[in-house]
Amino acid sequence: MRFLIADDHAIVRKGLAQLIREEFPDSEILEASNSQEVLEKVKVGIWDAILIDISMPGRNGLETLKQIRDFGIKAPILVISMHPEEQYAVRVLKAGASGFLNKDSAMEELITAIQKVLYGKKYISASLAEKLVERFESSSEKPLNELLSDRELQVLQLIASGKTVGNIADEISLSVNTISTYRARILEKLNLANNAELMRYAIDNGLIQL
Amino acid sequence: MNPVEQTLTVFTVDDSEIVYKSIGTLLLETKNITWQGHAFSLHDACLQIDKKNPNVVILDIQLREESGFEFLEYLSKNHPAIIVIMFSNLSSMPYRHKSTELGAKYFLDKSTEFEKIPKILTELINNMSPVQRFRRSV
Repeated sequence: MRFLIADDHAIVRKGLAQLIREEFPDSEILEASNSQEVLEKVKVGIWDAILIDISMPGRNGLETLKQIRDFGIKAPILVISMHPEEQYAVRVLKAGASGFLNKDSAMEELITAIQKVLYGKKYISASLAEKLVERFESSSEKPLNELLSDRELQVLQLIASGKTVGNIADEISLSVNTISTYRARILEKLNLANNAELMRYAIDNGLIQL
Repeated sequence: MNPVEQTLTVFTVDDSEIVYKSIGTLLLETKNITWQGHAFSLHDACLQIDKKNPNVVILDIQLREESGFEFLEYLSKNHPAIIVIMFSNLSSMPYRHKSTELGAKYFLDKSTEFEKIPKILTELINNMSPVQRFRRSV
């Protein structure tokens, strides 16, 4: 079996690789530390499963996932994240992921998720399923950030992590004007006045890691 | 066994299972290191470290509801000979300063300095006095 693990943190890649090696001893495991590497490696050969961190710098995991699907690659993709699952689950599943789980999940859950996607099924944790059901039941309580597009959410996270409009433009290869437009739209959709309020919102809603 | 080749004993404390797997793999790949064990909680860490008395403890700052700093204070008071390497994603200067003040010898950023662990441990082995080496060998 062939697995590709994409995460910008060596410690996470090594941990996941070891976990997979113990469960599937004869597997071939390749690693990638950023989106570009993923997109280069993913085209070579056939993959049984791809694990992608959502928070890679530059083109994030969600963008990378969409790009992989645009290539026509149908391998199961399991998205892993430090962020609360409910913030991203719907977005990544809509974008073509086979499953989504938190990096703090227990080993057994990680293995269950990998096995499930290897069989062509979808995986979300029981706690996430419960949260999503709760959300359907109380649709009026949806967080405002669900109104944001994927790109707006990405820009929000980058601003909230202290990056300037110029830094963000460089990082995701868009113009400064475009980023400023995204910022204005985000502030309007979230009813916020400035970057300080935006940061507070991101922290309160678990959209950035401290 | 030749006392000069005696190993350094290391114990790890972190609440993440992924970190447990990765750091364990790294330690098992490092020469002359004996990985004595791992604890996911400070209560378990306290019980195991009191019993095993390792040379080195690699300690996370933030474990679910617990503070690695409090445990660092405990180690400095009750096991002053143990060398502590703080290991965290919270790597800004205040955390580094506080770690040093409370007795940690090293501080590593979990995201970017993980792979420095073998080098630090190897330096510690090389700097062990012959007496320490001998003591650890018997």
